Amino acid sequence: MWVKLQHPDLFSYLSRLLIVLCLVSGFVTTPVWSKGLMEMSLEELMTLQVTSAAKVPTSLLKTSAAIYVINQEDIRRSGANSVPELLKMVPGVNVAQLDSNRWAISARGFSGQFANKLLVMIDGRSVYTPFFSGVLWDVQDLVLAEIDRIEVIRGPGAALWGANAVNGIINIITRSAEETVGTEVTAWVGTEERGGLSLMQSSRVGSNSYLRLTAKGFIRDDSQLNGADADDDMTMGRVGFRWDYTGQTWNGKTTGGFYQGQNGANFDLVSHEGDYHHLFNDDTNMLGGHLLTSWSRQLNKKSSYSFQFYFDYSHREEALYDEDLLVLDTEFQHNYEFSPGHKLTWGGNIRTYFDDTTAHSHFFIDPASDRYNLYSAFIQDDYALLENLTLTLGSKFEHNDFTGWEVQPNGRLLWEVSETVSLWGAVSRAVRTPARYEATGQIVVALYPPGHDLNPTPIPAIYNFRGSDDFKAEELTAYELGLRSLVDEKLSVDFSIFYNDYKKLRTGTDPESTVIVDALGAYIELIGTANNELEGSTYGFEAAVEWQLTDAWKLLGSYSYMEMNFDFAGQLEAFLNSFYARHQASLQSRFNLPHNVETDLWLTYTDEIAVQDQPEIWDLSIRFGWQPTPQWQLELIGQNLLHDHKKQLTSEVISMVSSELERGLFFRVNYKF
Amino acid sequence: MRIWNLLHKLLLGLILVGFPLPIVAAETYDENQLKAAITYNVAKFVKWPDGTFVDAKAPLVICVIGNDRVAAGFESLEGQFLGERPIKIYYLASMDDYQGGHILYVTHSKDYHVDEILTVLQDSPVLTVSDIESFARRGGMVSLLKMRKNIRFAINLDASLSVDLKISSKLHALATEVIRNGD
Repeated sequence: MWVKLQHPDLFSYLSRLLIVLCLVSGFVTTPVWSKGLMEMSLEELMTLQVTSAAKVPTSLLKTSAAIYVINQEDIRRSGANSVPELLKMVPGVNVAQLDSNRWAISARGFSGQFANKLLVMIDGRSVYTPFFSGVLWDVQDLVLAEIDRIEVIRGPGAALWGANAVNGIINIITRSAEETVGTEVTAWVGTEERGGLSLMQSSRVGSNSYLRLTAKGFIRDDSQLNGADADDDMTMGRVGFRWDYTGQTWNGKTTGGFYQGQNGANFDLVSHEGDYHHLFNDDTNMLGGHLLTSWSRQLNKKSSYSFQFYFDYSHREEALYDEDLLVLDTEFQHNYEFSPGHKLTWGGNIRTYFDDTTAHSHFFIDPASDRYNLYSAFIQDDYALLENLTLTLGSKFEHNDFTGWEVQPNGRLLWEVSETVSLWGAVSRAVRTPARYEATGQIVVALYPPGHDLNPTPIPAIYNFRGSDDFKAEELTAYELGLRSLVDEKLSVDFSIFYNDYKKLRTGTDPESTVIVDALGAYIELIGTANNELEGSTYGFEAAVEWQLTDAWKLLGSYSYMEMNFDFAGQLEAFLNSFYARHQASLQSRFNLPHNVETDLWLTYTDEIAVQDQPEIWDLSIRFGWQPTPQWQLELIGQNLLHDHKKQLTSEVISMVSSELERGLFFRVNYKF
Repeated sequence: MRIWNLLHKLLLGLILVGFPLPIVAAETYDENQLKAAITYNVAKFVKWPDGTFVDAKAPLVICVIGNDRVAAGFESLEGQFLGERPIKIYYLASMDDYQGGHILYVTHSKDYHVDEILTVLQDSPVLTVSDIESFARRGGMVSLLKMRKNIRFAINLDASLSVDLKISSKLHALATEVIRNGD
């Protein structure tokens, strides 16, 4: 796609020189604070120019974790139309779309449709399903304008957040209703993002209380499978509210939501019949809702506490199984500065899951209906060893019905070297507790036809993974180091390195094989039972840079590298655990033209995934935005521009068929009043 | 490495199509700190009615109402003096917490509370300042206005005179807009 120049060496040399010059100039131009703001006269102050806050606000310089924050501006200018797309800008986070409604998202490796080492929370509500310890991304959606920020933490956060915050935590935080007073309407129409409408209306409903109502509906077009339409289109509707109350003693937030939708999805029910494959398309029906209320009270300058309660209900009818899940969760937290320099946080949490499942095919679970509890307590102390050196020690003590008590401590050290540079390091332990199917289920994972490397027989072999009561929690000990710096008002950088040592990871026993003969013929049933025999380590490096080159032009880049160091016992084990991209990068350019026109480019790169012959992917999205008046915003957005259609990832479960995502173009209009 | 290749092609491409490269960047300031500094400077031009302060060293109390990021800018004023007066800052969630002061800064998150706030202060000699653009027109005394990249201000003399606050004529000259006798 690039014009071929005659002297590639010279071209390359010159541009490298330019990049180095730019970087060096960025690093050496420190701001000249010749005079503080307080010493200036009013006349002088009036001539000063202001800047919008940099990506690394002061608070991030005080954070001893690998955190990346996606803010409102990032959401708007990315051109993304859903939450998962946004996460592609975060270093170390792998985002792949399996079809128009299924996503595989993970941090620091171990990706997959059923990725299970990432915790996702929306306003304090955990949205992972205990079924497979992962997230059904198709139903995690919001009106984008109501999102204040998405905080993505790579690395364990289990000491605060509990089991399953193993490789990362995604915290989606919505704006208070007070901040969104007014009405905002967004509508879009396009080729892949076929059409949609979202409404947000907030108003004051009492002297200290504000209410926001939201509604959103959209249709997403299907992708492509084997040269034809994949019939995996998605229709979704949702309504929600948020009520904020600021009282004399209590502050409260209450949110609620309800959604209903339908996805198309493609399946392959492998069997010993015919050519062993049975491809079919089926609709998935989803319905759910939640209600959350959270109240906090400041007792005095040194002490505050909060309570939170929520219930979350979801219902899903899918080709292989139906699932009903009800979650009840209560939480208490107390922040207390008990002596100068010590900030103590402690709290407790009780959660109960009620599930009810119906297995249809290739999936089996017993008992079909169950109830299980999770209760925990945590304590953490932030202690200022020196004025600019803070030690954080804490642990979570969590009990689950599958493995009993789990202790998840961490220690973190933050050194605020100067007002613009901070260094941090952490050692933490996290566990992933068994998912329901790992304890009590069975699922068809793979098919080996005759002639396959793993099948020397003349009849097909079907591999089943079976859960076990003896399956333990997976364990991680993570070592991390990071550096964050506001190099100057225009440039901020964030680096982190990690070494993750995994023990007791899930794998299967050597399969027991049984030859089964029925009316359709004979096949070998292989059953591997869950155990915790796998161990190994991963390590890597992540970097994020935000650079305001001129008043009108900003670049945001991120890059991550990781390696896995595992001794896999077999092909299947290697396949199931090696969905990771060695190199990943994202580069965004945001350029403002006169007359409130914005041109934004976003280039992403994901390295090949060797175990599944998934080649590397370059992709590009472009956004043109125009704000003719403060009320109106018009946008033209192109996504997945570098390919007509492209497969991004294959599911780890053979019955789930991925399709090829198509290039898309859509027009979006936003009106505020 | 392909990333490097792409990066340099992209950058060179952008340079070729005329994007300026900033070798030395212009200095800019945090908007919220600047708003606080301007509020502080405006106060230098204001004379409170006799008897407002016990003596020349009595503290000047600034209340900041609203919990958004603008309030954070005022932290830079803590520990400062206006003449001999130490500055005291109180952060209020709502007017229920208000217990008197000399300056009240209304952050823009309180846009929908302006009338209510001004009603409470109706007869008090309190300098009201806000970064809500329409604040001065709605009966507040000083509006901070963001004009392109600079911060300017508008003043409403009717509002200040009604409570006997004297705003120096030097400040009139610097203001972008001066409201008096209703217009």
